[in-house]
Amino acid sequence: MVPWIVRVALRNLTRNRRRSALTCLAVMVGTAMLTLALSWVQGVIGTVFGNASSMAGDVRIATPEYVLREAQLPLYENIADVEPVLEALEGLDDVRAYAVIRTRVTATVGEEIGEHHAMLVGATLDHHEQVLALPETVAEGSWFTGQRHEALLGRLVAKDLEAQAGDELVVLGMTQDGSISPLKLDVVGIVEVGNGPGDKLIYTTLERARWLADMEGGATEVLAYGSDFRLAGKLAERVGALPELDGLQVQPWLARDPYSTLVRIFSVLIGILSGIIVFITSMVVLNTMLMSVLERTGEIGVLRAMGMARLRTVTMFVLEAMFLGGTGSLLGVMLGSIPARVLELRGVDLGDEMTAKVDVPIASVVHADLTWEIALWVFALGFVVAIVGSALPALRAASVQPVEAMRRRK
Amino acid sequence: MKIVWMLLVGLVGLLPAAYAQPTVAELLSAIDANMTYEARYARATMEVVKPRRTKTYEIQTWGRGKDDAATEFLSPARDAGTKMLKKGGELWMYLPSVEKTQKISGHMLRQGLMGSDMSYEDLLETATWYTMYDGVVEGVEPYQGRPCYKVVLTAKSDDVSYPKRIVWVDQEWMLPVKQELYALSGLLLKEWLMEDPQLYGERRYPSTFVIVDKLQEGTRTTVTFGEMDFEVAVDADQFDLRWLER
Repeated sequence: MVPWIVRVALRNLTRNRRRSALTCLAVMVGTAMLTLALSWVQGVIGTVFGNASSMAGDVRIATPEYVLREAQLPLYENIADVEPVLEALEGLDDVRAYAVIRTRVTATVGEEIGEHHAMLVGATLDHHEQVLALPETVAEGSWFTGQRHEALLGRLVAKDLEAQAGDELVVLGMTQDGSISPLKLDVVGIVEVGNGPGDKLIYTTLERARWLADMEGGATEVLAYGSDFRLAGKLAERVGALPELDGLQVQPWLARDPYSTLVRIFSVLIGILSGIIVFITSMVVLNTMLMSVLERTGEIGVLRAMGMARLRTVTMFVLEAMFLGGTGSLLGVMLGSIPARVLELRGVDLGDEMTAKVDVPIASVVHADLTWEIALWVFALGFVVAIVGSALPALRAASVQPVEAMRRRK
Repeated sequence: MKIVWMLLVGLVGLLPAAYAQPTVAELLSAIDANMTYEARYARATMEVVKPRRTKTYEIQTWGRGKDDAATEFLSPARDAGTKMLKKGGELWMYLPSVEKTQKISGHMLRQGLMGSDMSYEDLLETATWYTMYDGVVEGVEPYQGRPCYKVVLTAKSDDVSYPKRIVWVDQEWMLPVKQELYALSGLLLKEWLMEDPQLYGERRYPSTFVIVDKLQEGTRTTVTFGEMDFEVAVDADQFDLRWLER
């Protein structure tokens, strides 16, 4: 049996359908915009930081001396034997770990060597494939064929070198002792990673990078990946507790520069942006509900004069707001999900020129990210603000004398 | 009166010793005469000690005057066949694994030769000390129990790798047995020791060089000559760029 006050509230909604529809529409538009905006913000965060953690590792393990002089990429400060570290990491649930060597080289395709500067990344093919998803980005040539001396060139470094798939690449690097170390590689393919730093890299195997750096069995870094890059802090705690990693420094990606600075800046900007979006949406819903109830102050006076208790009067208006806010928020989330989903699938192309100039791996195509959390959060916000927006004026109107309330109608 | 006479006699006795102290020009000329040669062939090992590992290279080298030198690395395996050619003020390196010749220039000159404490720039020194430096003899100071002249050298021009050197010159051997190499700022950059000199004909030449880069911790490079021949007839082709790829 539906309580009579609920039936009255429902009847009130249908009594003035245009008013109810307009109020519901306002809530719907506000929440739809909020759904789209928050999905976009979430997508930007995921695009920027997801890429960053792919390249930098959710968690990185390196020697403290390497971390201290990281800007110089000191090959000498390597982890001399990475196997025990890798084995310990892979013993953890949901953790993948890879040994990586990064080193600066000069690279040339042609006769003269030492013309162009680039960064070489040596890692297992599993890392290149499963973490960086390089096979999907091959724009010219092919993926590694299994031969010993092979490399993939990022699009920008290939452009700089005027290199093509099939060319012979000569890189000149350093051994860990600081001796000049040359390496000849066959360019099997050109990759378009979709972000500036990734497209400026030379990708080769860990074995070749180890030869270049004269670092048999070692690596400059071990990168560990968990199930979600956003949980890197917790992963770092688990990894840091491993006794095999004693004497090594364990850092989640968001504690490392430039990402830590970037995260702080982004968090502030996104906080402000999200706050503004939420504030505007709340104001729209609040204002609509306030006006909707204030307009009925006289009606509240009549109901009170007829003997309806103050609490029941307010309850009736809150119930109306719950129906309107709930319906409007639900429809709004559904409506906002449509463009959010389109942006999630298609993305927005920021242009290669812009992302190539930034030293942070921002993808040139940014996608929205619509999550259940966003949908639920937006629905709850619309619902609660609608209730607050109706309860406040109803409480105020029900507090004054019925005659006074009826007079205010005019 | 007796005391005055004794002092006078003492001072007069010291005069020959004061006059015996050579001038800087004489010292530098003597050093240059020992350290420069018309021709030389040598085999040596170069041990590069770093805090975490030590690498040993085996080399053979041919030299002609101060201007030309050709060096070939014989071991370890990954560096075998690497050749270096110093020709005047230029340095070339042949890298056998990529079959290419690289000119060492710019910032690369300041890097350590095969990661050692000796830079490529150190190898490129072509002028004699006599032409590069002015100096003063600061006195006599023993080094490892042997009497040495302590000489402070200051570069005549600003295109010298080490604007200031403090050198301990062995009085008997006329060799710079210890050198401290300074930057213009006064910062000690390197210490260079020459040990265990041997007689090669009338020339006395150190059989071991020890170089310590003072800007790095725990590093030390020791070059030990096993075979040395200053009478060798060096073929002119040895100092041609074509030798590198031969």
